[in-house]
Amino acid sequence: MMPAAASDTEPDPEAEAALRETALQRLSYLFRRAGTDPTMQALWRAMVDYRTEK
Amino acid sequence: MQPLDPEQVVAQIGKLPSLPAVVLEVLESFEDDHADAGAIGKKIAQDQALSAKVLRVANSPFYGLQGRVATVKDAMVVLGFGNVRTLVIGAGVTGSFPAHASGSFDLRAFWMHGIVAATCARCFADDAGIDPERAFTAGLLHDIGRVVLATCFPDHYRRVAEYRAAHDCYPIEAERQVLGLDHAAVGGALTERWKFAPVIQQAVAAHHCTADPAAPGGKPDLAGLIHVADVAAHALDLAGDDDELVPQFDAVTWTRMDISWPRFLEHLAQAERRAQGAALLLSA
Repeated sequence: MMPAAASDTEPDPEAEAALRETALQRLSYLFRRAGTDPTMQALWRAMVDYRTEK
Repeated sequence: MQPLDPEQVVAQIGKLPSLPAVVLEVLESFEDDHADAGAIGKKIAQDQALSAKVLRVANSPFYGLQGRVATVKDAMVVLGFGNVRTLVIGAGVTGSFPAHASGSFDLRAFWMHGIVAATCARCFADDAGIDPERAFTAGLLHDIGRVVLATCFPDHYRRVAEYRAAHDCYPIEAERQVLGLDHAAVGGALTERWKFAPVIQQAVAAHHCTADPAAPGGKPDLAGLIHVADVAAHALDLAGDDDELVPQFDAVTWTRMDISWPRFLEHLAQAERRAQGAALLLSA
């Protein structure tokens, strides 16, 4: 018997990982001048949460 | 290329057109607690281009009223005078520099950043104890000096872009290096000519200044709020600028905002949704 086709709503872990990686790369580029400043580092972590957990 | 003479810049600002009369009237109403909203609404309705933009945003999915806001009067009823005022100012200001006059400068990306900063400022305003309409207006205008420089001095501003690309620095650093002045000072001068309230002029002129840690504490002023909104807007990365770069976040200003990072992100999510609607101001 053929396996049931994946539904449109089922998450695709590989696609999600690829999207997360793309988001992280873009954020790294946006924050390329952030350095070690603690406020910038905290903002970076917040934006990683925002872009990867939406 | 010689740096720009500040007097030369001021003279050019003097030659720029004023804002439409109805926008100036809306601006004046900020200072008048007894402003006649009905009379101002009628004047807005008489400006077809302006009212069409306001209605387009009022009918955007953000407000959940698609197709139900047919007239400026309807918009005043369902959105309130305050929201309509900020939309009129947004439509008037974004339409004040024609795209063809700005050469290679990406005017759409510029205004998109302004709109995102404006919606961020509006969302953060309550936490800073600042009027949200003023916050939106100052956010929209905060970088206006850049478009003045790009349209009045296109050759100079092309050099700024080249310097920035070569050094991957912040735009304000490239401006100071190439022009000997920066967009914040130019924006302050333009908002003075356009008769914006002094607090908005000051916010535009000082949005890159860091707070004095020795100064008395308390919530940030409008300039500090716009600094936070500017950083947030760059971090949201919605303007479509491939070379986007998040500015340094002033720790003193951030500490004085006194909000948690989760709350910051809640504001960002709301600002992003609002910006999608407000971006309709940029449609012809």
